[in-house]
Amino acid sequence: MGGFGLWHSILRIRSSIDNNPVAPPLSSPATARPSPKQAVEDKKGAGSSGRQQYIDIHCHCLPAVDDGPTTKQEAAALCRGLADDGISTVIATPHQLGQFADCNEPASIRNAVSALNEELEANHIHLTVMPGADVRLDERICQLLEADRILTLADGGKYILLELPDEVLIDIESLLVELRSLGVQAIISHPERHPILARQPQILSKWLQRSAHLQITAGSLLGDFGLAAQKAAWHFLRSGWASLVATDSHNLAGRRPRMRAAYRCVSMRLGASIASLVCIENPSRVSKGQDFLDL
Amino acid sequence: MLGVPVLGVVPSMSEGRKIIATQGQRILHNLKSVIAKFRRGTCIEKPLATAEPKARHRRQKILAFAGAYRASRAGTFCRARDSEPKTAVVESVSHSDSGKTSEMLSLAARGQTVRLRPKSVVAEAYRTIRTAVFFSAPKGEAKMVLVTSPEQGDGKTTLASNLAIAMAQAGQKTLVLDGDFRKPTQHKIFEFDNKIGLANVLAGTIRLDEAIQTGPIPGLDILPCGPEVPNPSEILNSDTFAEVLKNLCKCYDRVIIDSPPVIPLTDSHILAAICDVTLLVLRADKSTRRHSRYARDCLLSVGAHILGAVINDVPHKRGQYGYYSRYGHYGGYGRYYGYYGEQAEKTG
Repeated sequence: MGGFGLWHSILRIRSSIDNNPVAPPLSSPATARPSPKQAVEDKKGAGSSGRQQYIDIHCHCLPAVDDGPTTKQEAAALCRGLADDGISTVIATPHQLGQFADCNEPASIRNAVSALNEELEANHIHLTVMPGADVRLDERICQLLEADRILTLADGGKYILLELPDEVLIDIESLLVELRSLGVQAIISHPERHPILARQPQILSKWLQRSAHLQITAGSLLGDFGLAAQKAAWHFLRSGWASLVATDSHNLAGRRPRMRAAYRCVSMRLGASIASLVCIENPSRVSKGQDFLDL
Repeated sequence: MLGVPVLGVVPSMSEGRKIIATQGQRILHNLKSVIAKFRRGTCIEKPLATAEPKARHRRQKILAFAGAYRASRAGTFCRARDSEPKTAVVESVSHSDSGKTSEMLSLAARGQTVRLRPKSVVAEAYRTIRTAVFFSAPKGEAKMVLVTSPEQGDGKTTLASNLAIAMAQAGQKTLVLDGDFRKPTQHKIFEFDNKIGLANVLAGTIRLDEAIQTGPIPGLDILPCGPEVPNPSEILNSDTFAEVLKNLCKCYDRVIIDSPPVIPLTDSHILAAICDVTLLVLRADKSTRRHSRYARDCLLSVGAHILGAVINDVPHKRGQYGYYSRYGHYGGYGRYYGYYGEQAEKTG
């Protein structure tokens, strides 16, 4: 047990190093920052470099619809945080079904997204928000999709972000087949944080053959969700199973956007080409409704 | 251990109360409640009495177990013996009723959690079970769902009613059939009187549609037990009952059947043989391996299709209830999956 603790702390130190590089690649060179406050640093880094324009496909940034920000001010602050993290486009994915059944109807999400876009423009925050949803696994998904009761990512009708229940492992192969017949591909959100999938990922390969895609949370790669999630996340990336990284950010405190740090970490360990594929290229394909590139 | 998949994990319904995660905390909690009772002066003999009934309770559990075991070994669905384990079980329930879960919420509140508190973690757990049942059984093959457990007090009845409500909410036409003639409870959950029900239909005094009661939400109907009958096992084994079930299957998408426990009684063996799928309810920290395994074997021996196990009353590891406040507690339920999941993989 002690060994694990040690390994965990090493990884944490490692990832905190990854988070605080001396200077972002092509930013103003004068500011060498020994700053202890990471948030400040992230902000400065983004302000100066603004190079990598990430696209975030999983983010709870709409005000007062789910467990994300509760007020407009908080939502605007989160969006500023996202922009500062180097993100140019974000797909807002409020929860649908499960505990939020009957609350987040597509029309209201679309309205909230356009309202937020207007507000961002008024506040000079350079971020584009697109409608989407984080859909809890349910047996009615296909019917509801056809009835336009649940949203696909970027409202493009091609990708659906699927959230699996944590407590049990449900084999969703039949759902994937059914979705495929509707021309929809499933993106499974944060499988590395699923306690069973992280330990027994064999079933994922079956789903991947049914044109499912895996989305990893940026924070998992940095150890925010514990050692098991971190190990699984890197395993999925290394083996080429995961094709997307997203922030899944809810606020600026506990679950803040950490795309830039994750990007650096991935490019350091697996190379810049994979990093830009999972953080920029594939997410942008999701937002445009195009097919993925293989790793 | 059991070689069956875990279909659901239902957290303790102790929402808003102090979470009791470890044995030490539990002892402390019990001590505190005893002291509180002392102060209120409601029961002064209680602390003295606790030690003795507990021992008796354990003895009776074993007795009931032995009785059922002997009965099944002899291969008789004997009626005579039914009375003996029954008393033991009823008594053991009255003891476990003083446990921590049942004292805080009324039966109706617990049985209709999905409807009354749809945002709670517990309700979400029941909805997950509904989804798991849907994806575990091929389409249209899980019409008759039997809910049973090794022993009394594991949470069959609350699972049956909540699962039925969740299914009805998902647009499936659902019927709850109370098959527990020994201790009918569904009518209490849905707050009907038990004057007419299945027993009358089987006796031929009323028609089936007259006995069915309309539930609290659209798409949900309830068929209560009805008046007491002298020979439950025989009634369930009859052709009339099979005919009733067949008719019900024509009218409903799902028929959820609540049943007596597996170990002391043979009723649920009979029901399991008729039903399409069986859910085995286990209570965390109560169901023992030996009893769970024995119940599974009993059910398998009559040709039941055990869809999976539902683990009830699992304490939260960290006392957090928000939808997404469960940060890094992934060890929380882990031991249960590890336990059942890995073994299922080995055997399967």
